[in-house]
Amino acid sequence: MTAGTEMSGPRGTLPREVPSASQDSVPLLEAKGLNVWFGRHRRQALRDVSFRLAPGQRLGLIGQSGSGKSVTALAVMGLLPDTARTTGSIRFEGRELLGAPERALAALRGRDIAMVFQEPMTALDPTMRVGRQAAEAVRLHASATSRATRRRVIEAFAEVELPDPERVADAFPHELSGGQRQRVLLATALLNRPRLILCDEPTTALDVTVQAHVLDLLDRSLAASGAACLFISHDLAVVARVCQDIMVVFDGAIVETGPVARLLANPSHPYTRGLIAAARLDEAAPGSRLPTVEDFLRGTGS
Amino acid sequence: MKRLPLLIGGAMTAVFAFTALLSLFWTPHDPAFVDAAARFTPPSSAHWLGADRMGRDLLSRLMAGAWATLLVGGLAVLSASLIGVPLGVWAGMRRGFLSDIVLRASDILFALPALLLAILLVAVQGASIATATAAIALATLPVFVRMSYSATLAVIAQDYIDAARLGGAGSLAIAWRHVLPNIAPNLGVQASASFSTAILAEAGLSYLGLAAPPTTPTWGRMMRDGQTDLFVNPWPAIVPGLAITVAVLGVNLMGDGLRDILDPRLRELR
Amino acid sequence: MALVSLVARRVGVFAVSLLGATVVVFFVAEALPGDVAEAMLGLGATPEALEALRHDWGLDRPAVIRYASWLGGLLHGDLGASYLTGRPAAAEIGPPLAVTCWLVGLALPLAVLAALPAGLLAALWRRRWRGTALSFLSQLGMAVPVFFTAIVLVVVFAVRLGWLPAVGYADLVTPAGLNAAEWARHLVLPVTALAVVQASLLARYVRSAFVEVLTEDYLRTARAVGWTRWRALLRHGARNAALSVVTVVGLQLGAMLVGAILVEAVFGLPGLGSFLLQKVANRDILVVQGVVILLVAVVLAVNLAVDLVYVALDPRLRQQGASRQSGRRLSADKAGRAGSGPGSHW
Repeated sequence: MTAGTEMSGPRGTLPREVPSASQDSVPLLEAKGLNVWFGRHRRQALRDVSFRLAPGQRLGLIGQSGSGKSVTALAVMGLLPDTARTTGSIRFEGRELLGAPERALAALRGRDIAMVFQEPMTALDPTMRVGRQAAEAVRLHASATSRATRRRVIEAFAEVELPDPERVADAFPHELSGGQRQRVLLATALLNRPRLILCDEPTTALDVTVQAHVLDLLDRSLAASGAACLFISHDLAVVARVCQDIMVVFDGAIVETGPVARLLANPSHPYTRGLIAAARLDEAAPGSRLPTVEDFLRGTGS
Repeated sequence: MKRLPLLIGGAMTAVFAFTALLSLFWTPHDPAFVDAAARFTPPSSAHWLGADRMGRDLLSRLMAGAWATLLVGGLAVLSASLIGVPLGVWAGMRRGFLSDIVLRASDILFALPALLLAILLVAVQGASIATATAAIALATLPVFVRMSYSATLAVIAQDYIDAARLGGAGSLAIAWRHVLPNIAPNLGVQASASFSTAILAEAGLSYLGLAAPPTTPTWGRMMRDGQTDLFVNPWPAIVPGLAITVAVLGVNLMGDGLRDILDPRLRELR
Repeated sequence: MALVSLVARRVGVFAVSLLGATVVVFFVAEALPGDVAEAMLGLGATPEALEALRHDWGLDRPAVIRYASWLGGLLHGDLGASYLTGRPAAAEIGPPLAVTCWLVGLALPLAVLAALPAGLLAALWRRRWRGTALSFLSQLGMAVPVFFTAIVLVVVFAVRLGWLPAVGYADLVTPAGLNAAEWARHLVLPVTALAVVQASLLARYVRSAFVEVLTEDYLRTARAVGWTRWRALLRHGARNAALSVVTVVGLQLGAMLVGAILVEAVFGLPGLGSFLLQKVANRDILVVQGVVILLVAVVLAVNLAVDLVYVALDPRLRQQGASRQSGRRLSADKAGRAGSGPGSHW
């Protein structure tokens, strides 16, 4: 990983309509000219991705599976697999993250930047009680007695409305439902009051009813803590519910970005138009073939 | 690149099998011929690998030993799979009291290594190729029962089995037409793993004198004979050891390569 | 409660298996044509002589009766007595047992100590040539028969360098006092030979356990809360990898006992293997059966211990009280248990 040295390609080509308030102040997170390649064949997963995120801002990252959404989040966390090669720059509060030593990154992770993953079923160590796993997030970054830590964990569990948080803390992952586990992970992410939370499809693996509930929780928790959020999803409706701004990724590149309302009303990229059409199935004429994103990419969509 | 282990292993196994078969028709010398003048000769044009303490040609004995190994290992794995697979498939398709007993029995047999079984048999029957083969086959049996049992369970849980049943297919037809073809890849991988184990087992048994009679050239026996003269000339003990290693390595590589190709998940982990 | 019944079930399985093993051990010899008398007297024996011998040794009684009396003896700690001398095996078995215990007891920890780092590194380096080299080394180690390793060690360290004895054994405790130096000198090569094969095999399992763990989501979660790469691997990876490694270590014990028999033969150590082979040569069937059952009991007892350790390590098992549901890793272990690994008993 070479930090900021191998930047290539045109920068600043993005429509800079991003955040309202803090265009000029120091961004919380700023990615510039981010490129990621994977594996021996150098398959490119991200192409010249740049964006900025102001403190407290909620930015939705939307795109098909495989378009590079998760790669973006993992790059910010420094958790890309060993086979990845990254160029460009990722700055958090002005500090360069790319190429930073693992120790420095580890100190940041879980304290200033937290992440909620897609698969609650597999994201927890099956051999450890979830309360202990959550407590690790606290004790890794601050010295606290185990009793105080446990109290904080149980408070955090209560805040995400886990019923009977004491009991949940003593449970093993396999004893909890998917929604409960995702709430455990959300509580763990919030424990250290991070300034940035990366959510990678946090509700995709959940039932629709549970999904709405977890989204509500996330919305309120973000509001309460004032944390910024990079919210990844393939579902326009979900993103629109949580975020003020949207960034559309297609084939590893950002094709469009702007406030939710403007983007929904006036999409400029065919892929975005396709997404919106596909999300509004109620408007399709009965008996007609349902619109797909591909139609719009081929230019055949209305 | 991905298939490299399979190719190398397959080639090594082919050479091993070819040598074994060739020894039936031709060896450079008579493996049993004692040439006192050639005693401990180093490799030469007359004896490519040299000669042992009695002046017998090492290469010829090595080739004959390959046949003994192939015969014992092959027969043992073949008979173990011919008995074990039907038992396992049956137990998997008809789960009940009887099949539980079969599985439990095979688990018990699994606690008995081939060497201990061989020791038991030899104590009663005396050492011979047949007792060695029987012992190795018995020790291999539970592996096949277990494997085909769990593979069968996985197959009959599939929807198309229910569809076949609804279509009126009997258990035997389902086993033959659906279960066996689907567990065949696992069987192939298991057979090569068991075969390499059997080679090692045969070598161990003949090294201990629990297999073929002393006059039959086998790799283990050659090492046992050669060991007497380690301080004089270690070569006759080392050559068959290398042969065993190469044969086992070849079969193992082939089995691993096979498994990597058949099991995409494992390939990904690699 | 589930835990108690689970443990009880496992202990029950152990007892049934052991009983079943006595049946197998006894009747394996019965099922085939021919018996000891024929084997002793050879082909030219007259029917009268055979009959007399069978009567002398009680072989003319029905097999079931003989089995019952043998089993009864086993329950009283009677491993059988020599047909020839009438001496009980239990009286002779002590010293050889001690030798074999030293051999296996020293080789097993050595193998584990070598296999853990080797397997871990092979997993971490699996996409680089260093990892491939380590994997190939373990492949090679598994393909080499243990007695060949032993012979190569003898050629190098005893024949060429002359540092260590090629054969023989020295008792640790002699009437003259402690004899540790000589004892150790005689055990270095046998223990190493036995450990090399086992370490190669174990390293392979350790590697695949860690390769599996490395792809697990929870490892990423652990890093996301602030563990560094290495500490996440040790804290969360090792716990989970240990599950499968413990199983394999336990199951390898049977293989090690077999390996010990071969190693004893190479080095002429007066262990259980040599004892057994000598009894085989003498056709002391009852003693052979007794010792074999003893070894099988040890293997089964270790399997039981492994099962219980497994329950202690894996909360999913503890909860459900059965091994049915807990998914991929367990079924993988079942596969490992079925001995699908190459060289499982050698």
